Amino acid sequence: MATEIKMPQLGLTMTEGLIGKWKKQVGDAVKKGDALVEITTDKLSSEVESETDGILLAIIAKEGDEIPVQGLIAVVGEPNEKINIAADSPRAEIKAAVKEEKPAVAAPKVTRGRIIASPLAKKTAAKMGVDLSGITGSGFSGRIVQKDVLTQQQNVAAAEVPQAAAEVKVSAPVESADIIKPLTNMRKVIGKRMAESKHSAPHVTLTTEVTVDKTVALRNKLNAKNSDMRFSYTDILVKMAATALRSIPAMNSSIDGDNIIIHDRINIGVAVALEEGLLVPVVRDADRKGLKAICNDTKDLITKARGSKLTGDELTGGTFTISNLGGYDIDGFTPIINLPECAILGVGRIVRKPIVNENNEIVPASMLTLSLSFDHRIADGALAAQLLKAIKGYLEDPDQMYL
Amino acid sequence: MDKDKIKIVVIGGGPGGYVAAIRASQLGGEVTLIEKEHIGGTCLNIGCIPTKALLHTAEVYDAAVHGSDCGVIANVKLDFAKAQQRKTAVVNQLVSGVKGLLSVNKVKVISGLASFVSKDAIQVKTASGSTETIKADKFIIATGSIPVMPPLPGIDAKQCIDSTGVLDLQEVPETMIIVGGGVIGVEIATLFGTLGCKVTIIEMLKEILPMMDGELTKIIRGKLAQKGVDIYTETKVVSIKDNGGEALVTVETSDGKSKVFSGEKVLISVGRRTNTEALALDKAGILNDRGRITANDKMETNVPGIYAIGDCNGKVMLAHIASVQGEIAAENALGHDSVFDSKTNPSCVYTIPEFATIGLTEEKAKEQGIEYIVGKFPFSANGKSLIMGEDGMIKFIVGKEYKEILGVHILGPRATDLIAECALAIQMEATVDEIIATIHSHPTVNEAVREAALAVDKRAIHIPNK
Repeated sequence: MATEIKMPQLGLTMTEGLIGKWKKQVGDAVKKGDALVEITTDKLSSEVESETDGILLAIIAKEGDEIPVQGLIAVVGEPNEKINIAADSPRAEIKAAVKEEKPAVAAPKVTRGRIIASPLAKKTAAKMGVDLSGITGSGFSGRIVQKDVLTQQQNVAAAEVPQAAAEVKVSAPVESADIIKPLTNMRKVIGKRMAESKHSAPHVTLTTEVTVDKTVALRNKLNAKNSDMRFSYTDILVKMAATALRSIPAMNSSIDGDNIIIHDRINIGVAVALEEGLLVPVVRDADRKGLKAICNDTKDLITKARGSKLTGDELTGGTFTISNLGGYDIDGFTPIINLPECAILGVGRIVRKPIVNENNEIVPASMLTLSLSFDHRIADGALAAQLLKAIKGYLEDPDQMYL
Repeated sequence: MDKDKIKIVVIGGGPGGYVAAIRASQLGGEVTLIEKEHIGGTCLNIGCIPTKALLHTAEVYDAAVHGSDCGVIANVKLDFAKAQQRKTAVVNQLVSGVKGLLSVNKVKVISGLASFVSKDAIQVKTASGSTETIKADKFIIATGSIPVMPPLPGIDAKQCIDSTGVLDLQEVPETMIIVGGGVIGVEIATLFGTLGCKVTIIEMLKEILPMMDGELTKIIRGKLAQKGVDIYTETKVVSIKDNGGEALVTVETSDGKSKVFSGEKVLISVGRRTNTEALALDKAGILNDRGRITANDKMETNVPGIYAIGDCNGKVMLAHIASVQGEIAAENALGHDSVFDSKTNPSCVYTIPEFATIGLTEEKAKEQGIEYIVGKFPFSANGKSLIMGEDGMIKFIVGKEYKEILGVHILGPRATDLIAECALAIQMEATVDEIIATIHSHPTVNEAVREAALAVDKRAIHIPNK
């Protein structure tokens, strides 16, 4: 009997997956547990395994297709078995579902029933990536017409002139020795999410320089006393950020359509660079965990990330993100918010610098630049500055965390 | 009289005025309609309807003459006086129908000539010579237009007639000169050309029917030539001379040569001008440009409470525009907020076959620098057209990027009816995809619309796609 292979749900928030490379071809013998195809969600890359022994009878979803969760992607069965795809789970329906979801790529997750727009307006919006749900139509009975989409697009473009200027289409010069390779699914997902974030969230980045001599000393002490562990600055920052967020809960928040959600739990995402891209696994309840637990968590998550072993739930549920580029000798940078979270902390390198101390003497000190990007829709500068100041306070004097 | 009701006076009972009156009444107004001559105005009495009634005779005649192709053999004889009687009967039935509608809608009709005495009152002179002053809260001016008689030497020759005169001819003349190759000129040429009259059209511009798509206009010129209609474009009439039984029309052709045509009748159809002289617009302070009343897209004039619709505002002189503007004026007069949108404004010419257009022509698209794609389909590849013994062409002009429908031009059987689908498409901002996704019944001439939409994507089924 033929077994349908469907798009798995790899995380609570997963709604669809992007089909990557097929590892098996039609006619190949497969064993239960064999990887059939690579898939990518907005959070992670994974593989779909065969649920049974048999022959791969049909590939329904092609590389590059976006398939909703539980959508049919392949059929495995016995050799020469006749399958009726149309009757089992009509491909056309899946296709239709995928097609209908296309506008939703541009639209936010919250939709308000049927959007009345002209076919031309829909096509224009799809092409320009304009969200129809945010537009008030000027046509008959409030129908959205092309003019409304163009106006909206102009407004958005005007709101981010530098962005738009940078996006002016330049055709990349290609010479014979240049290597041209298609975007991987992960790059496409990263590109989509970063563009979406920059596009929809008004970013503000606050920066501050912090004297971290005491934190450096703390880390050295911890690492000296716990030979089995190796605490990183990121581990310490996860703890400090979590503690700071507990005292400023409004920054531990997300935007969801017309609502702001202030999260009860503090789950800190840690950006992990991989050769093929970037993942943000999540340390859960970081405010309630000790440094050891946090250290174990991050180590485990980073290992899993590098081995593409992260589960969907390890990649979701973050309420705040930390991105540390200190290891790459970066002084400071402006991180892009990991939507729907409210803010992201960018961490630079620690560098010895001469500073003027309280006695007006020039002395050497370990300095670190922090940058906090936040979504101005959720928070204002003063609130975000409070959070950054709190984290700064802990770095300057880690004992403050006990208070 | 109901004191609470808003009093509306509509001046003119044509397709603009009577529609405005009915709409105003539907919305609770107390409506009085002033008409100087015939309810139904130019359209019903001396315009659209009688022309098409006579053209129907021409079509039937044409079908009868060519009946043997279909196996119907008849000894065809034309009784033009009978055709005129039928025309009159059709007109009368429609006029009495409109009168009935006005009465059902409790519109009070006064027969007389209206002129303003102030911003809020008019004086009506009735046929019997009595005058009556009527006050109202709102006025809707719908006085229409009249044919222009250009100041040509000899224009008052007895052979010279206007569109009203030509529709009253009791016999088909042997020869006719038509000055002006616009819609009226071309329709009359079709009518009398079909009925055996030798017709010559003199047009000053480069092409007859300048608002239509040039490619299709060339086809209709060929059809007219088959009926023996001679067309001289870029040709000016210099003078007209009454030569007893016929008039001698001297023209200057495009190459500067002088030529003389003789015609039993000379139709002057160079255009129409607004009919607002009798209104005394200045008494109410209504702004106008040489009689064309200035109105905005809510049909408001510069005087609050006074609206101007249809031909008299000189925007677009077409009956269906007057009707739509009439509804808009009535709605705005009664506190609604309606706006006239000319985006869907089909134009129809009742040639054989019919010629209809909406939106941008290829020429206009080029002129405006719009990037477009063309999809064409000949009616000769459409089964129903072949059955009907008709041909022609349908042409889509669509935007290059999104394939939205910018214009549709149809020369072919029932073109004036087929254009409605295209008008809806333009109103809805549809692209060719929506036309293609719509199943068109078979066998119909309507299938050609979908095929032309398919041709945009080079996927028409019933023609090779080049």
